[in-house]
Amino acid sequence: MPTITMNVNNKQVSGDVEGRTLLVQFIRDNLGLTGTHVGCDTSQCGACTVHVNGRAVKSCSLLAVHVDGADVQTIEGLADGDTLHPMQEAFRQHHALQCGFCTPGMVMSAIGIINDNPDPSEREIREALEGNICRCTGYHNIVEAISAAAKEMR
Amino acid sequence: MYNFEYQRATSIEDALKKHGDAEDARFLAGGMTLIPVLKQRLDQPSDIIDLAELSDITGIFQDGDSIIIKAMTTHHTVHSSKLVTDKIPAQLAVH
Repeated sequence: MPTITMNVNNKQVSGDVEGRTLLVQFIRDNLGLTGTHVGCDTSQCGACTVHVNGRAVKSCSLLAVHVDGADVQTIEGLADGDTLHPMQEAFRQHHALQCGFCTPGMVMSAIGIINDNPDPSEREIREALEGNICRCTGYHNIVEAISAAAKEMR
Repeated sequence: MYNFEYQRATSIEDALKKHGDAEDARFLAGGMTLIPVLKQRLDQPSDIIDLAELSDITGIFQDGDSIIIKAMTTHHTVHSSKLVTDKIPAQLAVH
């Protein structure tokens, strides 16, 4: 069984995994970081989105061994103690969630969107959220929150 | 997902050799098609040959009238390439 090592939320971690172990399984089952969610079995919903080497990716679609040695950031790594990341704060302010299941993936994707495009239009935000499904909100407040956070983060 | 032997290729030659030596191997590039297929148990390869380290098959450049996009270049890199969007503006509309 391969042993892999990663830097997750600025902490060096390692573990033994099977070849078929997905990154999301390593994060949830080996590391106990259950903020990263699994909302589907078809790589469509985006609830499992994390950052690998600074890029937002679906952790259900990567083998853990494939990203051996990578820098990974999960939803747990965003806040600074009690101070929320500006994107988390914007989601709170704009009530960008209802049940909250998709929210960790939404927030990680949203930060990825802003990293690529610091001043996105509403249309660009909606297009860039294509890979994240929310069944509660109708997306309106999520888009508002991302616009507001983009201003904060510029 | 059925289990398989995971192998990491160190060169194109190594990738071809590992593929040839295995019983029923698949190459893993980005995996955005292969991994969902494996998760659904629609395929059961004996070996996965990961091409992640083959940096010499990544990149975009112009060669005369052609734009060469090497096989391991990601969609994101193509989409954000100035060369590609300058020469093929329609690419901008395909987000």
